[in-house]
Amino acid sequence: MHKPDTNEGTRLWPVTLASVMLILCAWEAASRRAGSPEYFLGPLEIVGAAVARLVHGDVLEPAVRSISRAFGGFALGGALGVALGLLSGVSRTVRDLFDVPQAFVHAIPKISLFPAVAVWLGFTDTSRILIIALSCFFPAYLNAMSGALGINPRYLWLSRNNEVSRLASFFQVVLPASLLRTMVGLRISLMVAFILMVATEVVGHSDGLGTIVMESYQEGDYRQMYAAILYIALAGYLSNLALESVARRLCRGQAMEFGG
Amino acid sequence: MLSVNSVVKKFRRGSHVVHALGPVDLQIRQGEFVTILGPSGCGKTTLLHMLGGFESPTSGAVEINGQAVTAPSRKLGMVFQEATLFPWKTVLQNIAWPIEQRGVRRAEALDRATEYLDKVGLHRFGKAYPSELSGGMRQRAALARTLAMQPEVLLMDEPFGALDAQTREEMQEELTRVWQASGLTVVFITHDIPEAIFLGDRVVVLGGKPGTVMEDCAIDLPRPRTSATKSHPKVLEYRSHLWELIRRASAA
Amino acid sequence: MTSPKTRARWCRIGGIVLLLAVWQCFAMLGSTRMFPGLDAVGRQFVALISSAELLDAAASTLSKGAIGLLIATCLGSVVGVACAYNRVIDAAVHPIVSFLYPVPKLALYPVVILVFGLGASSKVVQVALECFFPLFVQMYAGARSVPKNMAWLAANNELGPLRFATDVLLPTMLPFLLTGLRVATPIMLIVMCVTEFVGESRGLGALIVQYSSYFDTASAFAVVMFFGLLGLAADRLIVFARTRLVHWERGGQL
Repeated sequence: MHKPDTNEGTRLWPVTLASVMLILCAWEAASRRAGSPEYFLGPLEIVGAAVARLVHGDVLEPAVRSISRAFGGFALGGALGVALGLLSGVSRTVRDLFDVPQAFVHAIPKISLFPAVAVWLGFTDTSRILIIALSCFFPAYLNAMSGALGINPRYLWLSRNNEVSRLASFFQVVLPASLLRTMVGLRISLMVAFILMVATEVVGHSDGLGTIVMESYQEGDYRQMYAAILYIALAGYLSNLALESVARRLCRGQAMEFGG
Repeated sequence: MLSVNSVVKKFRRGSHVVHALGPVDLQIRQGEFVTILGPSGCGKTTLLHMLGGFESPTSGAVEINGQAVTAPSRKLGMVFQEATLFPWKTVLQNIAWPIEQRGVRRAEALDRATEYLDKVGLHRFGKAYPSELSGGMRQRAALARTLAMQPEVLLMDEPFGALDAQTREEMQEELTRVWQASGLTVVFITHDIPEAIFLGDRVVVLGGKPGTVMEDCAIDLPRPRTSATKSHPKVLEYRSHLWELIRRASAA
Repeated sequence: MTSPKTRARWCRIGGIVLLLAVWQCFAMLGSTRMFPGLDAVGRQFVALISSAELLDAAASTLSKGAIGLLIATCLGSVVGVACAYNRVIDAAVHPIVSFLYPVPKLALYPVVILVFGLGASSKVVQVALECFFPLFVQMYAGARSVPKNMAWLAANNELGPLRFATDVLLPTMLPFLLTGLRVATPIMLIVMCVTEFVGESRGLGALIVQYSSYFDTASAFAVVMFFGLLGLAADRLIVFARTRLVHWERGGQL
C-alpha cells in the first residue's frame, strides 16, 4: 500500500507533457482575462517580446556581458576550488591549514561582501567577478575534497608500488578517482555563479541582463523585463545542460546523482 | 487452515514474461511447522510473499480458513530476512509497537511487550537500541515483535540466513522451543537442509524452472526437538534424500 | 616529528593566522577607508552590537527568513512525499521542478515584488521560492528511502496512511530534512541579503548597503562578520540537532 514504486518514468512522459501544456494554457488564459494586472503577461507574449529583442539586436551584448562574468567567476572560483579541494583531500597539512578560514568565509553570504568590495573596487566587472568567484569556490572546494577523501587508499598504494611520482599520481590517480564528486561540486558552482551574476547586477550600475530586469521593472516596461528574465533562465538552463553532458562524458561508467 | 490452490506467478521483465512459479498446490494444517526448501531462485520467497498477501498470484488463490488472502493483514505475521527493526526505537518499544497498532495505550503496550521479550530470552536488553545488538539478538527481537502481533500464522523468510553457523543453531533451537509453547502455524523458508529437517513437521521441496513442488516430505522425528534430536539416526536418511532432491532441483 | 594531533592543531592555528595576516596586508596596502583594518572592523563590531542596531536588524532578517524556510519546508515535504509515492504526480511535477532548479530564481524577484509589494511578504515569498528546491530534493529522497521491508512491515500491521506517516515516514525522513535545512539555510541568508539591498528595507542587508553608501566600510564589514557568525551558528545548530534527533545514526555523513 505504501511502497514507493520503482521509477518507470519512461512510460509516463505523456503525463509530463500534459501537465506542462496544462500549466502553459492556464497561464495564457489567466493573462488574457479582463482585469488581470498590467504586469501579468502570458507565455506567448513573453516569448514574442524575447524574440523581438533578439531581432532588434540589443539583447546579445548585455547577455554576453552577463554570461561572461558568470563564467569568468565560475572558471576562477571553480578551478581554484577544485585544485585546493583535491589537495586538501590528499594532504592533511593543507586540509588543516584551510579548515577554519574556509569554514568561516563559507558561512558568510558572499553577496553581503559586494557593497563593501564595491566601495574598494567600484561597481566594475572585477568586483563582480571576484564575488562570483568567491561564491563558486566553496561548492567546488568542498566536493572536490570530499571526492579526494573518498579515494580508495589502495589506488594510491598501487601508484606508490609502481614508483609513480607524487605529481604524476595527483593527475593520474587522484583527479580521475575524485571526478564524480568534483563534477557534482562544479554543477552546484555553476548554479551559484548564475545566481550571483543576477545578484551582483541588482546593485549598482551595470550593463547586464540582471540590470535590464531591474531597470525595466522600474520603468514599467514589463515586456522587456520578462524577456530579460527569460534569457537569464535560458542561459542558466542551457549552461547547466552543457556542464551535465560534459560531466556525463568524463564520468562514463560511474553512477551520477544530482544531490542538490 | 492455509491453502494454496494452483497458484502461478509470472513476472514481466522488460519485454518478455518470466514464468517464475507454479502451479503450486499446498495445504497447511493448523499448528503445523512447514519448511519450504529449495535452491536460490526457485520462487520460495515469492510463494511466501503471496501467502502473506504482499504479492498477488497471477492465477490461483491463497486462502486462510476459507477466506481469500488478498492483502497483508495481522493474521499472517512476516519475519523478514533482515530484522527490520525501527532503528530509532529501543527493543522494547519495537516489540510494543504492533500492540499499540491494535489500539492499546502505550504504557500498557510496553507492559505486555515485556512478556514477549522474555519469551525470546532478551529480558536484559529491553532498553537497548537495535544497533547495539548482535545479528542473532536482532532476529530474536524481530521474532518477539512478530509474535506481539498475535498472528495466526508465522511466515519466516530465511530469518537465520545472515547469521553465523553457531548463532544459527542456537536460534533454531530457540525457535522450536518458542513455537512449541505457542501453538502457531509456521511456514519457514530456507535453503539449509539440516535446518529444514530440524525445524519442520514437513519439508516441502520446491524446484525446477518454473518452481513447483517436487516433494512433500513428512519428517517423522520426535517432538519437542532439542539439540539431541540432531543426532537422531533418521536425520541422516532425510538429509541424503533431500540432498538428492535439491541436486535434481538445481539441475532442472 | 611532533605527533599528528599537535601538527593538526598547529596547522589550524597557522591557517587562521595566515588569513588574518593576509587581511591586514590588504588593509595596509590600500587606504584604510576603502579596506578597513581588523582593528577598525573589530571596534565597529563591538559598537554595533552594544547599540542593538545589529541585533534589531538581525531579528528583522531572521524572522522573515525563518517564515520563508518554514513555508519551503512544508511545501517541499508535501510535494516530495506526493511525488515519491505516486508515479503520476511524480511524472507531472518532478520534471518541471528539475527544469526550474538551475534557473536563477532571483531574476524573478521583480515579478514577486509586483505581486506581493515591496514589503516583508515579497522577501518571504522569494526565500520560500528559492529554498523549496533543495528541500524538495531531500524530502523526495527521504520518502523513497524507506526500506521495502519496513513498508511491508507497516502493511503487515495494517497501518493506515496517517500512522504510516507518523511512525515510519517521519523518523526516516528526519535526517533528510536536516540535510535539506543545512543546504537551504545559507540560501535563505543569501536571498534575504540580496532582497534587503533593494527598496526601503530593514535588516542586515540594508545595513550593509547603508554603511557602504556612507563609505563606512569598517561598519559594513562588521555587519558582514555578523552575518557570517549567524551562518556558522545556524550550521552548528543543525549538526547538533542531528546528533540529538537522529540519535540512531552515528558517524553519518551529512
